[in-house]
Amino acid sequence: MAKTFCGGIHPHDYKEISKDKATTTAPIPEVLYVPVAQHIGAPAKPVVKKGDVVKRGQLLAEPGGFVSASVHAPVSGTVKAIEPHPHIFGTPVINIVIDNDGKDEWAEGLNVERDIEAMDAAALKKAISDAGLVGMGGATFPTHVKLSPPPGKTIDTVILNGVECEPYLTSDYRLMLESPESILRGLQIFVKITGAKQAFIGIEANKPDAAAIMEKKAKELNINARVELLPVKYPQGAEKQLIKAILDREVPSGGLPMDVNALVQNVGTAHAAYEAARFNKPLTERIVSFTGDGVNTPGNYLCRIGTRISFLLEKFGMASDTNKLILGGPMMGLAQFTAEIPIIKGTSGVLLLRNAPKWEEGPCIRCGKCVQGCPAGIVPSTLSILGEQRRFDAMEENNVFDCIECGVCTYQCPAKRRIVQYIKLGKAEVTAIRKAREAKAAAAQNK
Amino acid sequence: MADTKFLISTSPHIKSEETTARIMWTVVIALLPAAVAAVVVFGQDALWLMVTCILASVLTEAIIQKLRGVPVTIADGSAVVTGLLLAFVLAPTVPLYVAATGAIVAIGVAKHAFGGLGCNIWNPALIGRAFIVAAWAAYGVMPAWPIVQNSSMTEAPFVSITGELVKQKAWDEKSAAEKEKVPAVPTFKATTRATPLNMAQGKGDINEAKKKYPEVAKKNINEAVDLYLADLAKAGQPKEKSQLQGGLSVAIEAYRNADAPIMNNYYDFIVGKMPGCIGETSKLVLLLGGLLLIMYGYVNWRMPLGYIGTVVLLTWALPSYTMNGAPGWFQGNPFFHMVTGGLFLGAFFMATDMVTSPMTNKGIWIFAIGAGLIVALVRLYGGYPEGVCYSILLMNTVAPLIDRYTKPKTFGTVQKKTA
Repeated sequence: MAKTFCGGIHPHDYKEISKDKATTTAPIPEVLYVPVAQHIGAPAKPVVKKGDVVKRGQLLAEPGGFVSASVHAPVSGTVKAIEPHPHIFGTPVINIVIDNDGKDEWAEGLNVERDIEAMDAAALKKAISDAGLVGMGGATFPTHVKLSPPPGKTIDTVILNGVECEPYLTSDYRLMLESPESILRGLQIFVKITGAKQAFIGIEANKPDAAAIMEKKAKELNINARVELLPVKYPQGAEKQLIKAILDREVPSGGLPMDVNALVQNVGTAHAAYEAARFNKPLTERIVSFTGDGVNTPGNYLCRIGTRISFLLEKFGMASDTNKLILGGPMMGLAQFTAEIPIIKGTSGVLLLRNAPKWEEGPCIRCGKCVQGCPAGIVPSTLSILGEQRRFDAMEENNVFDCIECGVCTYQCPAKRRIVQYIKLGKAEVTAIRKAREAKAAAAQNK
Repeated sequence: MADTKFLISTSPHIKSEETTARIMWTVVIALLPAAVAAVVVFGQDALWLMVTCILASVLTEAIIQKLRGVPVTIADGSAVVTGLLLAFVLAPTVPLYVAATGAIVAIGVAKHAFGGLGCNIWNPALIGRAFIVAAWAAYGVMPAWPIVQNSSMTEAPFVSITGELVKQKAWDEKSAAEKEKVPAVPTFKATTRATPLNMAQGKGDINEAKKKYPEVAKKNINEAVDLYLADLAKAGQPKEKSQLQGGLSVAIEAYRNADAPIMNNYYDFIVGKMPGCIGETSKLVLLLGGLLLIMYGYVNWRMPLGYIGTVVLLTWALPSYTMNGAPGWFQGNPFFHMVTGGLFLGAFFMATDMVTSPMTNKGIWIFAIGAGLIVALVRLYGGYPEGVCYSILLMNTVAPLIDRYTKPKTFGTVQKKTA
């Protein structure tokens, strides 16, 4: 029996647009905008000032806390400004603006070969932390934090996520075809750091060529990693669903993969980890799929972090009736109102859609499609109604926090209800209510 | 490029082609074969009934939405579905003003008084029918269903609940030639007689008579009834013939004696040549429409399977006064119960109404089996010959409760949390 999880759907994947386009290097603009918040957690703190001359890979901002990541210069040049600019999260964020000098010189000590065999777990982890690695599948959780389970928690299994279940996106697929060795070496690094006993690479069955290459390469390099061909079903690549499918372990509600002794890393992160450890290369570039019917020359491009999307779209061409710009995939990606935003570490794709409709919302007809499709096992229809009525206390009782916001419910809803939107609202409101409740309890205790 | 502004929305940014209107109109299409069959079997009365119910439903919806100041959504097809289903559960003899009133109650009371589409507790069409049955008992009570025109059964003698035995006799006394000249009973527009389910419910006084005088009853049930009545008079509890309970089994026996093959003519039941409501009789076309909806994923197959399956199982297993007279375990005729009455219509098109049925597979099993249980109990032991309408309405009532207790297991929890 094929390994899988409960629920899920099969949207058309549209991968044909860019899947056969080999990765090419994207042009680099004259000015780059490097945000200090490219990850989940505290924003990084700038360590350069206006007018400073920087080299590629030089530290621009250091982690602002434990759950944070450093940010490095993607090119050599001069710091032009440190000021807020539009950001993918919606509100402006401090950007370190760099004037590109066009020389693309690496900072001293970077981009040199190192012997990773000689490095121990701590040294490898430091290399990853120093390189500013974050989850490159889109969640952007700082990688070194994931690799540092608190005392008492152990990791026995590392899973590389090559599922790429979001429609349209092909950057992970291209990476698996083009750089299987560095992905597998990255996996080895993760195994070494965590002391895991087994390793898997999860790939959706619609990418048999990628799976075959990974399997062949693993055998060649004598790396003990099993390739799992998983059923084509969205959201197969969601962390908890992937663990369930491969290991049949269920991450407890509100818990983390380490609670079931598992670590999941995106194949792109593994690749970046190898680059960081082996060549001492901080994360300054990544593969981005430019896709959708709105882009004239779709493909997979190796882009420098900090390159504005508007600059790239001028090169790649955009259809005039394009009305939606999405960072990430269509199911979970973030819609942007402007293209004046930079590529960041978690930008797996730039999706441009022509004539995207505005859906009119209707009343819930209780068809139950969302309930049957929900991989989290909650009742999205009820949550959407409660959200509409602003009954946030009831949303809390109905497990609103177990929602992974995969969008399966909203994709299927015949009434076109904005279920994910109501749930996001509910999560924010319930968080505020909880905080108020705790503050009240604390105040009562002080009295 | 730089000044292009894009649309902002929360994810997901693609959605399926599915819409509420598409679901509703597909249901209408799935009901069309049964609508055609209704016209073929019952004539143009059925057509006018359907037109009236649909028009009344759609108009009521439009007027109420105007009055409520909400967008008029008659184009989504949900009122059309309600109207058509209501017509399907009415007899062709129901006057059009009665049908229209039923439609107004269905949409106005059952649907919009509760908040409109998606908010109603009960299936609107069935509420419309229940209202008609309560308000105009003459059209609603089952024994007055019309005979099927142009079917082999019109040749069978005419029966109704009161005074019919006399007519029965008069009919029996006619010669074959006379019978051919006079089509059924000429004084009525449509001839009426018991539906198969009425007839199957043989019990009460008639059965007593049969038990008491089995030999006589075998030859002529009327004589046995006369003897039984004489006994009652002797015992100081005289009864008129019209007061007899289970008078309909007399009709059954009459058919038997006349060699009318009604109870065994399953072919007629399946194609719809039988008395009943206009949309419920032809099982083949209902099955066709139902399978279409299952194929499209608009009907969860568990509902018809669980519902019909339960009825079949229970009507076979439970002891009752069966058509053969003798009560006993595992002697029922499940096929008869499966193909008669509104079971198919109810199982494929009424119980499966998304708004009023549970949302999880487990919940649907509970709903289906519960409804099947009610149907079997009503048919075998209840006062009504048919229980489909009320079985669904009763289960509609508990559907929210079922949903509450069949919540899916939240990912990452050990035990299901019931709120």
